[in-house]
Amino acid sequence: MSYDTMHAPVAHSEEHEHHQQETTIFGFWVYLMTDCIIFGTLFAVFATLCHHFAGGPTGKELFDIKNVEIETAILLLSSITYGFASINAHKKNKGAVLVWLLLTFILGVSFVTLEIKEFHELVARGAGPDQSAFLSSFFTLVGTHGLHVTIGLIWMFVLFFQIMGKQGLSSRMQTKLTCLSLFWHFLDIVWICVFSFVYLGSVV
Amino acid sequence: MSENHMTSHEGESHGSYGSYIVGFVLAVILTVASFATVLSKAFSFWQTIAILGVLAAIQVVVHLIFFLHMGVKSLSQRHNLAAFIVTALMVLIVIAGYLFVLWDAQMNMMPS
Amino acid sequence: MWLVRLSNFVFAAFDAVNKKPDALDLTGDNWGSGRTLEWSLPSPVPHYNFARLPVVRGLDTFHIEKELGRPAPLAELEPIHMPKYSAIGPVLGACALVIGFALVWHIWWAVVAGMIVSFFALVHRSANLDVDFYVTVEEIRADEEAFAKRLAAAQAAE
Repeated sequence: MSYDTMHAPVAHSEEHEHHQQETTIFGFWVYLMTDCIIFGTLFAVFATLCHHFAGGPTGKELFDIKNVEIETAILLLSSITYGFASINAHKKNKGAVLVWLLLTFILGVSFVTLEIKEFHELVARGAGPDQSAFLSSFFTLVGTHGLHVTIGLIWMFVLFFQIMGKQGLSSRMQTKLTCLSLFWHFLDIVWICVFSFVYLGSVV
Repeated sequence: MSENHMTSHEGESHGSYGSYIVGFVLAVILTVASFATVLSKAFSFWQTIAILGVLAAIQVVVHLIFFLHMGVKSLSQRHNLAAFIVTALMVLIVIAGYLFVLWDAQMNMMPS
Repeated sequence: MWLVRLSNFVFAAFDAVNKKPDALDLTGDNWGSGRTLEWSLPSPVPHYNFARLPVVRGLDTFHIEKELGRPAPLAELEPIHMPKYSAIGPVLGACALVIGFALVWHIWWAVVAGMIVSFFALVHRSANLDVDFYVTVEEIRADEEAFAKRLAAAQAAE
């Protein structure tokens, strides 16, 4: 009674497919916008609690700006390497896509590693999330961003092997790459606000 | 997806090496400016915060245009833009409302 | 009071189940005066809902069309693109429930298990290319013709 998409009339399915790709990407964009509201709320919380030290350490004493500089540089670089991956995806240049994805992945992993190291050091110094309202909101905000980056990395990892597999750079994979691209660049934007208002704002 | 299908589609929303590099250079300049503003200690507290806010806002726009390919050229881009504007408005209301309400509450509750 | 309402509901439900077949509504518009588009569908509603995308020309299009007589179908029938059923939603939902509960009560093995299951469920879903199908024009046409016959029979009976 019904047939699979693979046997659909070609002209019809291609147009349809393209339309569907745009719908998928728009849907993902709408998801990102809801994510944006989550981060907006967390920033609002941080802004209200950032002076409630409860006798504990302040941001000025805690934050290592050198570390933040390196993290920022890594994320910015990873943004452009992902950009190059998506350019090559549209050129159907599979090898180049894989190389740029791998680079992005390595940069992402180094970012997460640095962040975990930073969190670990803070907790070891007795400045864990249970120390003060300021630290609770700091860990929640920066941790949520870090969690997003980690999930982005898992996604990238899976996508890497799917592109290596027999699907290659099919239009379906390109849609996935585009969605991950939006996700990745969006996280970069969140990081701009994090380093500007959380780190630099606390050090002023 | 054939090559001509990609080009016949109106949205040139994939970027090029050039546009990514331009975006990257702008982002680096703005980031360095932010860090320099704070580390140089050349400005007073509120001046620094204001400069940080302006630089961050510009950098967000740079990222949106060069990395997320936001624009008004194609229909899908305009859809994205509309969704973004609504979200930005909501975030603005949330943050401004939150700060206003909680600072006000603190003012009233703190024994001076 | 709420007991009365509840028993009303139960009676209505029983009534609906025990109705004789000839009392079933076959037109999809058992009011005869439904104003909005949902009443224009057959009852039971086909799995693809609308055979053609309805063209809305104003408020209460269905009502206006009935007043002027049912207009001839405007568009050719086309294959309808449909998603296949998938268990991914309930599976991820269950995982989220487990992870959330386990995080609250510090049951770390359950947190890890939930995350692993959701990871593999997602990868499995993402590797699955067979997620959609087309409803053929023949099937839609057969449904439409059956529906037209039922409508005609219902009108004749009135």
